[in-house]
Amino acid sequence: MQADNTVEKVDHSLTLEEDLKLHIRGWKTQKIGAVLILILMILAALGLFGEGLLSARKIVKEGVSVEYEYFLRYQKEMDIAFRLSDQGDIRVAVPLQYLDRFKVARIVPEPNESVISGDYVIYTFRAEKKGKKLCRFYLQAQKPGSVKGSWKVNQQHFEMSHFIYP
Amino acid sequence: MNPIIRGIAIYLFLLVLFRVLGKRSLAETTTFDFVLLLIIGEATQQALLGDDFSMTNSLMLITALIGVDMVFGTLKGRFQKLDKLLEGTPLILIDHGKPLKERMRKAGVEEDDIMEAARLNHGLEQLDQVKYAVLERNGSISIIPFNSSS
Repeated sequence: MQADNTVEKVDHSLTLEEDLKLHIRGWKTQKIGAVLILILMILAALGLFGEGLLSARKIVKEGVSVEYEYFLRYQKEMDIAFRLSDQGDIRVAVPLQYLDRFKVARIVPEPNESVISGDYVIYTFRAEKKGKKLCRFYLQAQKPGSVKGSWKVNQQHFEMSHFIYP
Repeated sequence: MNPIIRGIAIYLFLLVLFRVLGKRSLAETTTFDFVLLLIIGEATQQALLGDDFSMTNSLMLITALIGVDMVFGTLKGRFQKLDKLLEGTPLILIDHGKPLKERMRKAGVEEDDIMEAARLNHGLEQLDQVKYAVLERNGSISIIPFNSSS
């Protein structure tokens, strides 16, 4: 190995245990560690741990778009935004497994009605006229791990999945 | 998450991180390093406590941190290899007044650092008055001048 040759060997009279091999291994590990830290920083900036390109998801289906984050963090609040064009009343069905993993912090605007129906909680938002609409669900992750579910917005299915970091 | 597991995870993460940074990192602390340490402490505190500010939670965490440290201390005392791996071993940087450039470069130590230690501890003026300079396990530099043994 090159590093072994370049590092000076010392014949000393001191009572100390100098493990040069361990030092050489340590320096190599430090280099690898430094590279890993840089990679981690870049990935984190890109959203590997939430809030970034790698985490942002968008599903568009017949006049409804859903924006959400894939990577979440434990107890961190996130929002799922539904944008609807040219629609009247909105019915959003949230799968029950989401309520097992998340606490619903707030819903904007407040729904007019919420009903449990089968494996879903259905929130109804009444609208006076047809037009563009936006509603946001603010959820706080309560358990780490992955969660997957199918939300329904006016009977259209939106498959969503998340990974919650501890 | 259980506070004990949280405490152990944070302890191990910091242990690996500071080992990767190298031992000179804390020995050469500047004012900014202290500020950085305070920020790290603040960030760690949030992750450790979460939203549970009860006394029981903090007592459990303190117990976990001291406990892991105690376990590592005992293991290091029993297994020399683990002790070397976690704490490292001393490294000679100056041999009979001659700087060991490659060792110094790899350990991130400058000649100025060695001369500073030589001036502070022994009032030495020149590098050739230094018989040995050793980077110790705790990150400090110890100086053995020529006249100390002869």
